[in-house]
Amino acid sequence: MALRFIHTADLHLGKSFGGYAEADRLRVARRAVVARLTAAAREAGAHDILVAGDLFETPNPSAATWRQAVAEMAEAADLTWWLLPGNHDNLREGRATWEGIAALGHGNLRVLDRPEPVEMRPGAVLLPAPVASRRGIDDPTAWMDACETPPDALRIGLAHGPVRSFGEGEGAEVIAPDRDRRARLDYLALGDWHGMIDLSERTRYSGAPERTDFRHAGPGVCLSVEVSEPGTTPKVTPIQTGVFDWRRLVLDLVPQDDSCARLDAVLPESARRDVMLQIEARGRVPLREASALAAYAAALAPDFAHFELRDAALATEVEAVDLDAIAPAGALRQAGDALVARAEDPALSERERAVAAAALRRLHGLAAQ
Amino acid sequence: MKLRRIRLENVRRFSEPVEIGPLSDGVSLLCEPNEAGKSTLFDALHALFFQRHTGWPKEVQGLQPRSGGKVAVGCEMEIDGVSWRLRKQWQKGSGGEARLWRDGALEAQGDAVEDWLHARITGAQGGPAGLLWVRQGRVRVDVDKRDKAASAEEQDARRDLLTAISGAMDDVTGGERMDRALSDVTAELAALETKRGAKAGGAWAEAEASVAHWDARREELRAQVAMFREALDEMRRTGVDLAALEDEGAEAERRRKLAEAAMALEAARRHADRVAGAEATARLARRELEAGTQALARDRAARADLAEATEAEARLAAATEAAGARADSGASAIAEAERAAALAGESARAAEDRLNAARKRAAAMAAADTRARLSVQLDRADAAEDARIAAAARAAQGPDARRLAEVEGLLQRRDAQRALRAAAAPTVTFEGAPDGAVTLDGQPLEPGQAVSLSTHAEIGLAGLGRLRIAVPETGGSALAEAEAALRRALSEGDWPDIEALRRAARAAADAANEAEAQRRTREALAPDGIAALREALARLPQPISADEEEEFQDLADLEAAADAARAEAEAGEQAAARARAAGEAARIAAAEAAAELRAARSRLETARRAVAELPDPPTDLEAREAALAEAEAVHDALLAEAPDLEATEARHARLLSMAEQRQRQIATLRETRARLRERIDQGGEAGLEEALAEAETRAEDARAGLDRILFERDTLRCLRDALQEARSEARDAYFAPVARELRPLLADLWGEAELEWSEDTLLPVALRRRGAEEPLDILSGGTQEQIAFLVRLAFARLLARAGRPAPLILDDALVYSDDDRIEKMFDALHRAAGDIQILVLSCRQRAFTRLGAPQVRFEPV
Repeated sequence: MALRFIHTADLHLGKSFGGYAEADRLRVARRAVVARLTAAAREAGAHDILVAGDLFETPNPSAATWRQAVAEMAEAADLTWWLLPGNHDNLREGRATWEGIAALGHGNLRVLDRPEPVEMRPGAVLLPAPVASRRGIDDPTAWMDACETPPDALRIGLAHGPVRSFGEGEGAEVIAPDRDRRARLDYLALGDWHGMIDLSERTRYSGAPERTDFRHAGPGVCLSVEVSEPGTTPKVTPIQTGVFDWRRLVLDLVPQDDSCARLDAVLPESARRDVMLQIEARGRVPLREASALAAYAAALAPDFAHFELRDAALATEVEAVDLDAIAPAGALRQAGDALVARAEDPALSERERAVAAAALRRLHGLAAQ
Repeated sequence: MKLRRIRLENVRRFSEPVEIGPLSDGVSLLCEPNEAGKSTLFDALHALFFQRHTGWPKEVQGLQPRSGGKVAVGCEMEIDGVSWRLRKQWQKGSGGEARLWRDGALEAQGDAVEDWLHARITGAQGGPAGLLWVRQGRVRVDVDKRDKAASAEEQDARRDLLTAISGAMDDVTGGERMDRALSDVTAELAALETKRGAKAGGAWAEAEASVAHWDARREELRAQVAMFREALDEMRRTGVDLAALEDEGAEAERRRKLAEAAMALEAARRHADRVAGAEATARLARRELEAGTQALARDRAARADLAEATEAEARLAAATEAAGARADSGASAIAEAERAAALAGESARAAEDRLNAARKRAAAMAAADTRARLSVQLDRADAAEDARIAAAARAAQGPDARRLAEVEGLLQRRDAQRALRAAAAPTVTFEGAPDGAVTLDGQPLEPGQAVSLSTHAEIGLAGLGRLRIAVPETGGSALAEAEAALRRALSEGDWPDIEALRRAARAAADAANEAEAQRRTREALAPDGIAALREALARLPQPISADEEEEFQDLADLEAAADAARAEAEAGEQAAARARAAGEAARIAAAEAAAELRAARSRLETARRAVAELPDPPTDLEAREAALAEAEAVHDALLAEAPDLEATEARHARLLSMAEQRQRQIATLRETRARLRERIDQGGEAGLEEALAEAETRAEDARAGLDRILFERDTLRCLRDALQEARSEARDAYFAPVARELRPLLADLWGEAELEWSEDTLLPVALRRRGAEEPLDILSGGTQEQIAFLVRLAFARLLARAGRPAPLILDDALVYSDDDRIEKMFDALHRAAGDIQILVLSCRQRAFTRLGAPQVRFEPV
């Protein structure tokens, strides 16, 4: 009998995005991810949604955050939500929340707060590894190796934590990378890493269904998993659930480049309103190009949900023509020459040089007016 | 640098190449009507020197003809005796070229030409361009408005008006662009900060406020979240504790142990009661035995006391008798000693009397000499006093010195009056023979004798008759008064004349002297007065009689006898005192012995009564000892097998306390958990952790925002400082020297004239001439234009003197100047042309014929 389910994780409901101008849109999109997972499950013909930890951003989210999410899950009565505490909403700190969810008594919501096998469906056993505390050092999946299940039953593992040091969570190398083999798992659904990763045929991180930052490019997805029989390779299909497309682009520039044209070339043509973009400009350009790039970026920014040009690593090359543009001679030219000298003075601190370089760009811009 | 030839190719109206030249060292004139291409030449030349060939700036675009094509401008010039040819060509895209020939050979091209050109047209300190440009100035401005906005407008207008002036300064100080850049930067900074720090309401202040707000909010939420998590931890701990307390198995075990402890306590208490009963029995037997033993001891003691009292009474009776005998003997000794002492006392008093009498006689004899001396002294003092009194009486009778002086004064007054009278009286002198024929008041006048006439005179002239002469009474009354006063004074003392008065005065003075001498004699004899002397004489001892003198004995013998008698009397008194002390001691000893005897007899009587009242002594002491031993044996046996009551009680109390404490703990834990639940529910409802995550993000963003603002602030400060420093340096380098160069040029036009400059704007603000200061705003357009023109000339002269001669291009620079003034300007041009090359572009063909400069024209090539 084939088993189909949705593998997701790291919803981080309740996460704030205070640093972004479009924070409200980001929060709304995150709250809507439950509905998009429900739709994805129905589209895939799945009846179970496995949440591999970090359903919530904090162990004790506001009542509005968790009750509204739980109510929405409960309303999808044709689906069963298997909820595993992760490191953000771990059992030790978030017990009140998990007890509150369990106390509501919704039949299609299963809080997996114990490391013991649970029958998902006839012939399919779920082996959950709830995270007991935020900074656990023991492998929560270790018990699965010795766990006996009916011989013909599918063994589905569900865990949260790093297999190697991703830099996502606070622990490192907690879960054995070959746990699927050791514990004879037909599929190990993992959470913690916010991007999708295939660790093996049977072990995967689904990534966050709605991305949280620039470390993971592209819109978020969930995984539709189908396991036909014990020992067979599962069929895994990503389904897009994210609204926002987070992108971090690198723009390597050389003095001969038309920096604005180079920027145009890497920008998406459409759906810019949903793109969160961070441009890292590097290399070396003439002063006039740096000014032009900054002005162009400022003009483009309103098209995007977020547009950020980082030019700290972009060295400015001051040519005679740039200084001529300020003034061919006289006091203005002298001021420009003095700023160039300061920007290149090794006796000054890095910040002082950066300030002088910025002042030079400003003077160039003022002169251009 | 000197320009020799200028060439335009495909520049505006010149679709075919044209040239002007050759250009001389001094002034050259290109005088053409409007639209002939003068401004095109001006703009093209400017582009040649200041626009890079690699760009396609608006200024160059403006030179392109409507038909398009490459724009090219070239010139020939001479620098330090070397001929150079420069050509630039611009084209949209990358078709620009720049080439430079030296003495006909290609020297450089491309950017190298630009570098060469840049070095030639800028000073060593980035000074003014090597070509100086003057274009037509603007018309005058309306300066009636005086409000703030108008003032700013006026400032702008003046700057426009003085474009020609400021053009030169602009090259040095950055001019309007510098002002605009500084203004923009200063305005941006002003929006951020004030002199005291962040500006209220500005981005900096708001960023700092935001940081402070979100830091505070984050800390507040951290504290709340910490409390919230503590509550969660406490909830978990109390849950574990409560479960342990309410464990049923543990509770049953605790109850069983408590019941066992209660039973053990009851058994221990019963055994303790039995031990107490045995202990009471033994105590009673012990008291019986002790009572028998004590009665026997008392009987023995009473009898021993009686024997001892009998013996004491006998011994004390004998002692009392002996003491009585010693008291009687003492009384006799006292009486004897007192008699001897009385006799010695009488002998001493007699000796004393004799001694006193002898002393009295000796004193009387010693006083006899003093008495005789004092008597003589007293007699003499009395005599002196009597004499003093008599002399004083005589002195009092005569006139004193004051009276004498008064009368002498009156005498002098009279004599003075007389002298006056005599001096004022007429005199008569007879000159003739002394024959007595002439008489005065009947007396013959002697010849030559001057006779003074008094009141009336009659001169007899023998044979002739008499001459009666009446002399006026001049001063007569004063003399009479003086004489009358003198007479009254003398008559008051019965003095016949002044001599008598003087004698009486001398006698009175002598008597006074004598009285004073007698007084001193008396005081020498009786310094304290005669009465005191008399009293001292009276106090002397009375003289003794002759009999008493005969009885006189040696005083020393009498004193020795008296001392011996006093010593004997004192010894007698001491012996009597000793006898009295010994007698008193014997009497007291006898009384004490009698008292002790009475006490001994009383004690004897008491002892006798005690013995008579004693009961019979007990006889069953052994039986009592046996009963006590049995009772103690029973008690010891019970005590040996008794359980530890205290330990049993302590265990029972501990178990009981534990049970009670457990109940209290359960109650406390339940209350605590109820409170914690409430706090957790509140925290969960409020979403503290979400709020904290939000606050932490916001705090980081606020900090990053502040960092950006501070970077922006520092950037603006850096730019402002760089601009101000550059302008200040330029001003120091060029401003004052230009003003110096300008002074003689102004003098050519207006005599003693001078420009006032604004330190802030570096613009001329007023013209001072003929002692009056005229704001530049109110000067005519022509005057303003001329000032601008001269400033440019001054700049050119300055560069020429500095060894960097720069051609001066004037494009319709004098449009408002009248005929008189324009000739002076031409003079100034020629004066300056001694140092510099000047190219004048003008459409005023008639007026500029008076310039007297060689003309050049556009010539097709």
